[in-house]
Amino acid sequence: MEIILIDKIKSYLSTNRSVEVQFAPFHKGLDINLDKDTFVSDFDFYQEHFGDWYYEELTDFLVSRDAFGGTILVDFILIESSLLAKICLICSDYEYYCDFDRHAKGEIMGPTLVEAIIETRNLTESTFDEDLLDFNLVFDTDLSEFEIYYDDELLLFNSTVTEQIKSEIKQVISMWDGPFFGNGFSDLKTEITIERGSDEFVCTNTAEYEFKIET
Amino acid sequence: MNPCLIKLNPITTTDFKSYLLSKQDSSKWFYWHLSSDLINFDTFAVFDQAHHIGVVCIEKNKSPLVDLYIDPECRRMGYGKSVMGYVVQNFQNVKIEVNVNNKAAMDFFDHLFAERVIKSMRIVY
Repeated sequence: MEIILIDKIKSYLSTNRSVEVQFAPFHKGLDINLDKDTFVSDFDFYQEHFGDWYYEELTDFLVSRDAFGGTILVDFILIESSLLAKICLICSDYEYYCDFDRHAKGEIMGPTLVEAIIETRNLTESTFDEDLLDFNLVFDTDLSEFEIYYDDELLLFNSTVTEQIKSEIKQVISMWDGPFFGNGFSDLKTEITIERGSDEFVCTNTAEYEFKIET
Repeated sequence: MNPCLIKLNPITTTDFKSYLLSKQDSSKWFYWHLSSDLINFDTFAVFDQAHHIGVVCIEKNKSPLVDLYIDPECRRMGYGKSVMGYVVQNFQNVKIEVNVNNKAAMDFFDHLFAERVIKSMRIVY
């Protein structure tokens, strides 16, 4: 990284101003997203020099670790006189390269769920229609959102059944990895979501890596 | 080696990416390609007889974006010009995007533009 950029970042951090930049590569170009209110008169300076850093160092670093992100967030930290870059890659099977199919909602239809719907809606196994089932779920380490619809109606079960259904769903989706495949990244997180009306889940990985900035 | 004898053979997107990754010199200019599923692109290997000398991807639409990678040892020998000549003869309204920071690509496409092999190019940042 150029000394002029290092010095500028350090001057911000030493006065308790954070320096965060978001890179979003597209075809042959790059969107660099910076908060205009934060950088004010230095906005153009950062825009230009972060572009140089991305092309001259950051992409080499990422490619050498076989790591790709649709969005690359970089936050800088000053520890004594050393400047550290904390990189967070965000990649999702919804929009980025992966060699496996996205997960379908049918994969989480456990026996308890099917039985509960049949009973609640007075259906039979033959009249139960998987296509009428909709989920609104968010899972990272637990199900933070959990809604199930059948024929556009929100289903409510008693707490025992609900916990059993949640347990069956978690057992399946906690095994899903997401598309990230870089080497040497720590703190890999996976968020799995499905929105009402969608037939497929979205698996989004965030992976972090921290390294010292050298001149 | 003869630039007039180049052939474009279809390859998978995985092979396209693997080839770029094996050539470490230009991966930064293809970072998007490496991270994209390239679902809207056809991907090809460039061959001079039995020699694999590069890759090309061509967008699947009426005004396709075209990207080209030629091995460093085969540059300045007319291969890139031959490939682009083939592409513009076989695809209409070809679009070229060149990153302003990529001096080699800027020189190459400027040259093609001056020789009217390509009609326009878009500079991106």
